Amino acid sequence: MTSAHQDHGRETFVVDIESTLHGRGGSFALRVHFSTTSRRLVMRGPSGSGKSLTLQAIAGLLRPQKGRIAVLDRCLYDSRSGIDVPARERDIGYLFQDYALFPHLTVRQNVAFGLARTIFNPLASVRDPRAERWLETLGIAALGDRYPHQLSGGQRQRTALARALARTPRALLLDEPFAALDPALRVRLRDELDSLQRRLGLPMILVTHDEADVERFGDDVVEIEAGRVRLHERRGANASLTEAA
Amino acid sequence: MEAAWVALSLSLKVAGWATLLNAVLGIGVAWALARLRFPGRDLLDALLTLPMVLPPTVLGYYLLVLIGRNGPIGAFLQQHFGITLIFSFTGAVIAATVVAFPLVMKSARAAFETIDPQFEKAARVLGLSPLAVFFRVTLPLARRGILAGLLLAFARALGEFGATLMVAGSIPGRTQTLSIAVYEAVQAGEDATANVLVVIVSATCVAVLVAVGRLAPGRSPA
Repeated sequence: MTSAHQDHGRETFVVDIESTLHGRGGSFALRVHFSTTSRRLVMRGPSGSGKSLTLQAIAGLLRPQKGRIAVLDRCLYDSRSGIDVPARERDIGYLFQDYALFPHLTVRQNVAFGLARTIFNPLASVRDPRAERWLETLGIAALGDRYPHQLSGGQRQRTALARALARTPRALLLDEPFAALDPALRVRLRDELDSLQRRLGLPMILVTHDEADVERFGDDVVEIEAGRVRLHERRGANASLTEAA
Repeated sequence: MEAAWVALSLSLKVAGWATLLNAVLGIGVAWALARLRFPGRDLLDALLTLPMVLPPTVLGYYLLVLIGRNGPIGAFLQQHFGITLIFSFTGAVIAATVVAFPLVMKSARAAFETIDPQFEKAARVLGLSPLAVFFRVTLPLARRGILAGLLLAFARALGEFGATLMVAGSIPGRTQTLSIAVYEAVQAGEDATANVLVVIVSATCVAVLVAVGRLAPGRSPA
């Protein structure tokens, strides 16, 4: 470990998991081990290499057979001591690849979705200040009454981001957040995410194929291939910048 | 002619109750079959689909064996609560419910299985309990398929004849539903009554089928 990382002291992400998944095409062995103290980590690798599965394990959507997962010193999964915090209690923001906006709810209802945990969806007419704040921040306040199918790609991404952030998560996981966008928009939204992350200081893991994402967000770069970490590259300069911000 | 309206209102009541019961049972079982993995799942599905293919008389016979005076359930209810199910309104509702059950279960299961799992995952990550995920995401996204199934079940329950006759008999005003009244009218040579009854049944079924057609997937919501 380099000294820049040790300065911070606290590990943002600890992932140490082993799992064998059985699918139609045979079995797949996931053996991913990495830990980091920086707040921006990029995971890259070919499709089907296990990047998304790793994100799902951190979020609690996939239970590994053994290992340990911790985010900001909070243990979320530990097979040896029998800890397995359910996904709903992990306080992790998750941006799905195609955003997974609820098609039957308006933008406003989508953003407010995680704020109330009753069995009823928030009403389209109710304005929760916590949701309104994020609609404003992401510049989609004027779209509050629209449904997801009425939005452009960029607007969907902003809605999904607002929905994840409205619950004030401890960390943010992004699965190819710019893949569905055209190149010009990609550049703009990358800038926006960059400045938003710096402002919030929110630890994040971003999964990508795109070299530009690696350049921008890769304080730590973890390369995954065939279910294993092939390379873990720490790029100190960016990391200290982020931690100072 | 008075008898026709009595039979119609009784049929609507029986079919209404059967649909309501199936809304709970059919949707619940469909969810379990679509989302849970357990041994014997395919066998359970096959057994619960049987009412769709078995002759209604066979079904009626099974029901008599189960809930008749000497059947395990029938005898128990008779002994402890003094309830007799056969030749009663409740018996007619049970027969209609069993016959229409697979229609709700099949449509609801298909509707649940076509939902992209990402939506439920997103809801879990956003802090929802499994029950809240069901009511706020799963059920609304499956609503069209489920509604179509419920409408078909209602039509099926409305037209139910064989099992109902065996279990509940043909008591005017209590168990003589519309379809049984048609049979009785024809047997008694009352052609005028039969004509009215037949037109009522046909019109109701056409209305239901049109409604189901509107709910079919691929058509944009109105």
